[in-house]
Amino acid sequence: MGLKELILNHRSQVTTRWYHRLVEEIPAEAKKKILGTSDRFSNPIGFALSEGTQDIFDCFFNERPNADLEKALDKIVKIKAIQAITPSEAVHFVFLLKEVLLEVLEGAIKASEALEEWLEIEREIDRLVLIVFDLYSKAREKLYEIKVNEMKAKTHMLRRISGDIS
Amino acid sequence: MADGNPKKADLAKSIETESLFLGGIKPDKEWTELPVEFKPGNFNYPTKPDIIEKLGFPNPRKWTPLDEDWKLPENWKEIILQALKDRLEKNRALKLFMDTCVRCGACADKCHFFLGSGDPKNMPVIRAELLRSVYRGEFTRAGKILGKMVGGRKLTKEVIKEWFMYFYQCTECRRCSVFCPYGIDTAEITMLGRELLHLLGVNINWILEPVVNCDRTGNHLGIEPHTFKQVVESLVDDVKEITGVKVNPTFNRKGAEILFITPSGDVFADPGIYTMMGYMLLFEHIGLDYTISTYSSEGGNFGSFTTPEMMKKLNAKMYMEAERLGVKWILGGECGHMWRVVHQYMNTMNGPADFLEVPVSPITGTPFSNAKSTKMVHIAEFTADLLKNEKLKFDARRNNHIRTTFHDSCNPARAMGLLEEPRYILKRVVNNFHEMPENTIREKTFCCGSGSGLNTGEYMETRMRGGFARANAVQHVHDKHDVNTLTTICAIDRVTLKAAMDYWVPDVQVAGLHELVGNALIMEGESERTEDLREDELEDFEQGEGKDE
Ligand code: SF4
Ligand code: SF4
Repeated sequence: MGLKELILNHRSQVTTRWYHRLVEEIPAEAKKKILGTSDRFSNPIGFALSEGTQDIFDCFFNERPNADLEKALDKIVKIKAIQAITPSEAVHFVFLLKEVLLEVLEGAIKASEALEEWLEIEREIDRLVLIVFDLYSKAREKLYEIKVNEMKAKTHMLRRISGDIS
Repeated sequence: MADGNPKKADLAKSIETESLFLGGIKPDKEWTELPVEFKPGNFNYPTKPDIIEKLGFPNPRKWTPLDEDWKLPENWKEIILQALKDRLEKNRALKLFMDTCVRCGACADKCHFFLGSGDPKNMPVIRAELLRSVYRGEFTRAGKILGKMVGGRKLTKEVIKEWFMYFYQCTECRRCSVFCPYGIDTAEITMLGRELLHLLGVNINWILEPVVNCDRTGNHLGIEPHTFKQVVESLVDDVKEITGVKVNPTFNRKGAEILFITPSGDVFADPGIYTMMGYMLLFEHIGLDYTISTYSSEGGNFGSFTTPEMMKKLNAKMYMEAERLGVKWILGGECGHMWRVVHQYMNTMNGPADFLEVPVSPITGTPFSNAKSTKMVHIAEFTADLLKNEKLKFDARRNNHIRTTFHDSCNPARAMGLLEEPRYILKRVVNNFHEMPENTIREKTFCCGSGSGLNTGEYMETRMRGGFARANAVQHVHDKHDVNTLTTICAIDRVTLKAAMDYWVPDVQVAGLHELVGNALIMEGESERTEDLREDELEDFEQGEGKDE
């Protein structure tokens, strides 16, 4: 069995662990609550992280079209882009995927015959990081755009009667 | 790697262990140990000194939350403790809120700011604890002696900073109180917390500048009467262009039957203006005898986010204008906090308005006995009554391009229980209406994340965190039913949810209820309608076969 197939067979272990690694970073008192329910509407962030990690996994390892992959990544990136964290902290979640894969499939990955394939997967994950950087910048740009649009919208009619817009 | 730089492994480790996930907080620490860190995006700009001076509020100065020294008055501690003591003596509810919380945690995960940030201090129970711990530490015997052991702490400058951060990270939406078995209302605690902070000159410009403007010219933007009138007239021209019908609002007309008051956002802001066009079409349609005051030209009341005195002062102009113009009663537009003020405080604050009559719809004859004390009727009640009595001619197919859901704004939903009327109207004037999930609507509705005067540009990141729970439910109906419009009856929502949608669910626009009413109305003498009030093209359908009601 190839490494990729093996990873696909361990989908639930990998995605669950990845999700847990993401919520590990939430303060203790909050974590209990976040992990306490899987209802999408009572726990929107938990749901988005859980769904996001699974979608990314599926798109990535099943080689779905780039657009789907980006959509899945964007779910998590948008949440990260508005927290009080640095850009590097925001994109860090992708690196966690490597670590989780190593934890779950350490033996198989370290076997010499899988090394080539692992290096290839690692390279692909690095590519994910680049996509995430782009998405992160886009989300930040969007925020600035929203700020400007909101200022303009607020005085829409005043700008109109002053001839600034028609 | 050069000396002095962290080793690669250390760097990775530090990102991992110190990684600040949601709100920029270190994991596995008690909330009391979590530092308060101000960063761009998580605070609102402080009030400009001249604004504070105009209001006669204490301690005008230049400062920012990023400063180490906030330049508090020298006797800051004395001021707060004395003010808290006074309020505990005067305000029984507050004393009860301080004493009764059993820390059951039912409210903990009900706040949109918590759900979007994971920051424990955004759990309502802890938000209240920020004040309660000081109350215990400084006022109760056990707390004075045992301190931390019984959850008491001393008032320090750090606590003031924490209050500023978290009492301005609460939109006073009251969702948490719906879930509290004791009915503890954290919004009241936030209001009090903000009130205390005013005494030190710790407040935000976005709230106080509109207060000053409102005080001076009657509306948040500080627009003078002639410009206000000019703007409405320009909307009249738009309506004419789109529908072929000239609507005829009047201004400051003595002897009109009804005074119409709406938030100025409906007059000045996009997309609020489409709701304004909707009101004017409706009033023309039924031949309503109404007038608009250019002095009481603001339904909103940022005084309510400031102090009870300021709320009272700004609210007073509604009755003053009603009396001056000699109207019979007041009709109020789509607004959130305006209705909280009207419904919960106006009569005791500025009433009784004996010079007004118990409102009766001139079209249907229905008396609005629920408005017997305030003499002010919500436009959704008014229009629902018109529909019920089949007084409107309309064609819902003119809204066929709109697939909508309804956002219950916090104040109409939780402060006045206005849940059915807007739905009653929506279901008639729109053919595609889909509710969001039950635990996100009606009295459990999620806040837009920017209410109570927090809708500033500089606060966008925090606002987006706060708006995530709402947006997540909209996303759900967008995916499931292809919903493309979020309808709401609050002028602040029309601005703030637009921002939240642009970020989280970009395919969904935000509309007012009466915008959709206006779209659907069949006006006498109208030209063939090809566009809605936004000048977006209508979907094809056979005109002239509209169902009448
Ligand atoms: S009133 Fe609203 S914003 Fe404030 S703590 Fe309660 S749920 Fe949160
Ligand atoms: S639900 Fe009420 S009693 Fe329970 S922790 Fe919250 S405020 Fe306290």
